[in-house]
Amino acid sequence: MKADAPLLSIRDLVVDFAPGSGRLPAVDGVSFDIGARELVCVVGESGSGKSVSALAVMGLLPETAAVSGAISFEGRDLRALTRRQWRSVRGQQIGMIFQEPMTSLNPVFPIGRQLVETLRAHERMSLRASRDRAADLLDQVGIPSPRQRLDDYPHQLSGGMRQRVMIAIALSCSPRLLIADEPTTALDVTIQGQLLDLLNDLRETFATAILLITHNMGVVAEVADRVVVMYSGRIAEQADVFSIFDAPRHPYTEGLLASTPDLFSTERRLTTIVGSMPNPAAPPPGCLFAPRCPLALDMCARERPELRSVVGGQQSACLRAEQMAMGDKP
Amino acid sequence: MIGYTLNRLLQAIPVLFLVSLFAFGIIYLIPGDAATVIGGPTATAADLEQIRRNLGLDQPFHVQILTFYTNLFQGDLGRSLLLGIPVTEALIQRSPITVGIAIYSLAITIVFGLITGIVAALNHNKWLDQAATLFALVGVSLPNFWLALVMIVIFSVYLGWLPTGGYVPFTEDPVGWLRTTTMPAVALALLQAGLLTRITRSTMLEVLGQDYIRTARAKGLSEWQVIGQHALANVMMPVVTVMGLILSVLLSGSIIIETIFGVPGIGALMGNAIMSRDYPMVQGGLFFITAALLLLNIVIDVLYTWLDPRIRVKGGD
Repeated sequence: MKADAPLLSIRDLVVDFAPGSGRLPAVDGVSFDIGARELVCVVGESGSGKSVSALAVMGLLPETAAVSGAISFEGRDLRALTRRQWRSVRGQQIGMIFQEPMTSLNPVFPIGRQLVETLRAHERMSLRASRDRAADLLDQVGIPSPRQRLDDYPHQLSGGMRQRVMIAIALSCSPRLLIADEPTTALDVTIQGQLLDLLNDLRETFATAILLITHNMGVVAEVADRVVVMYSGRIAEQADVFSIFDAPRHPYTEGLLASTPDLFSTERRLTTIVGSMPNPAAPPPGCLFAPRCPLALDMCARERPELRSVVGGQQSACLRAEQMAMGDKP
Repeated sequence: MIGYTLNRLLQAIPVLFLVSLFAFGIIYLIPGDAATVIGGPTATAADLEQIRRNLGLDQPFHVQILTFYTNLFQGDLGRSLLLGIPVTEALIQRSPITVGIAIYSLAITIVFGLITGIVAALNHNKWLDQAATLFALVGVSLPNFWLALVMIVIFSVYLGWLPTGGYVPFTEDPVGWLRTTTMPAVALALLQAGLLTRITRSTMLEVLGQDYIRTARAKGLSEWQVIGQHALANVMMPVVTVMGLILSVLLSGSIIIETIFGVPGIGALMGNAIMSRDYPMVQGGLFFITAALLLLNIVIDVLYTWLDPRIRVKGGD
């Protein structure tokens, strides 16, 4: 492994739940990298393939899904792992937290047990030592009187607290990468902020990279180093967070930004992106975003653009990416 | 949880009262004169008089019902006409036999039903799943007396491995007990095992799709921990719920199965009592079996709350 090789590298990932049906795959040729200790946000509407990509990295897709492409983690090809090898990657090198804190913990086991079993699955340690470590972890994710909480069942905790427990489980073995799939979506706005701050702090403490899936551009602005914008299973644009906010090179990114509530805006109504994502059974022939795009030309309806470099590290899959910087705004 | 248990026991009282009333009423449900039916066509007038006196039918109604309940509270369920011993004594003598076979049968049901159900769910839509589903369908469809007869023909008549019937107490000869109880237990278990397979399979399929199973996998747990611990602990709850149903089917099935195999348990006792119009025995047996089932169901419900922490904690408050 080269010293500057990325921690996680995804190349041409395709995930098709109905191969041979002619439907658009759920994920269609996605490539991106995550460096060590980097926080990358993947944004996009529901159904854009964000979660499916994350599950592919964890090897947690159902067996019926046809997967192709390369996923390498610390130079290791994840797609070639055996079941046993997967177990040492999951939980130990890559941790994951999910969108639904209410159902992600097993209702019939105390939370302490669910933490302890993760620790003991990856490290040789006594029950007593693992309980001490579990209490420490609960303390680190901001759960008060953690030792008493160990014997609590999930239903005795609020949604925010459960998500903290999930974070503690995911980070318990100090993974190099944490995948967080919309971790705050199901929670109260006040709790969302606290959890984001917590994730950001823990990122320093545990020196972990984070792949954060969200559809909230406000969250992106707050924590991201780099942003991957997905639309209909493909990457629309990827760039560092400043370029994305200052000079988006894809009209979809621009649309997402415009539809984010802004405290200082004088307009009374929020801008929306008109229309909805293409029907995967009958995709438009050209650019998948063209039917909703304010900048679409005739050529957009004929040609499906590939992701390409525009300026610096910024990549866009828009035929008119260059023109966008010249004030050709909707 | 103690409060919950007490509560359930108190709720059982009105049910027991209704059942006792029904048991008492059986004698009045006999069309015509009970004494004539019991005595049969050869009974003389003196015999009939004797039967009426023995059953207290010559007394006024309120005395009869009062006597019935006074005796019931003293644990006296009357005297069997056929056996000439107190009904309670007969029931106590025969119970261990039926309970033994019931436990044996329940063990077969649980082991077989759970394993087939889980194997089916883990191989969803593959041939093992289809085989298990077919087995479950056969299990719930085949009458158990038919299976009992077929087993006797195969294992006793052709192969000569097992006796066609009879019973050897476990305390005297455990091997003999196994030889005489295996066929009745298997015949009784078939239907329940099919039922349990179906329930386990569908519950397991549902549980496997839950978020916490995905979490367990994402934590890097072994497949044994994911299935055998995380999934199974959640599958057990609906399974325990149907246990009460399974037990009652088991007891009612024992009437015919014990008669076929000549096992002198409660089932055969009741079967004989019904056929020979031994009404005190039927009354007592009805009350006894219902009370036992009621108690078992309470035990199961309490067990259920203990298994499910969401109920357990609330009940403990």
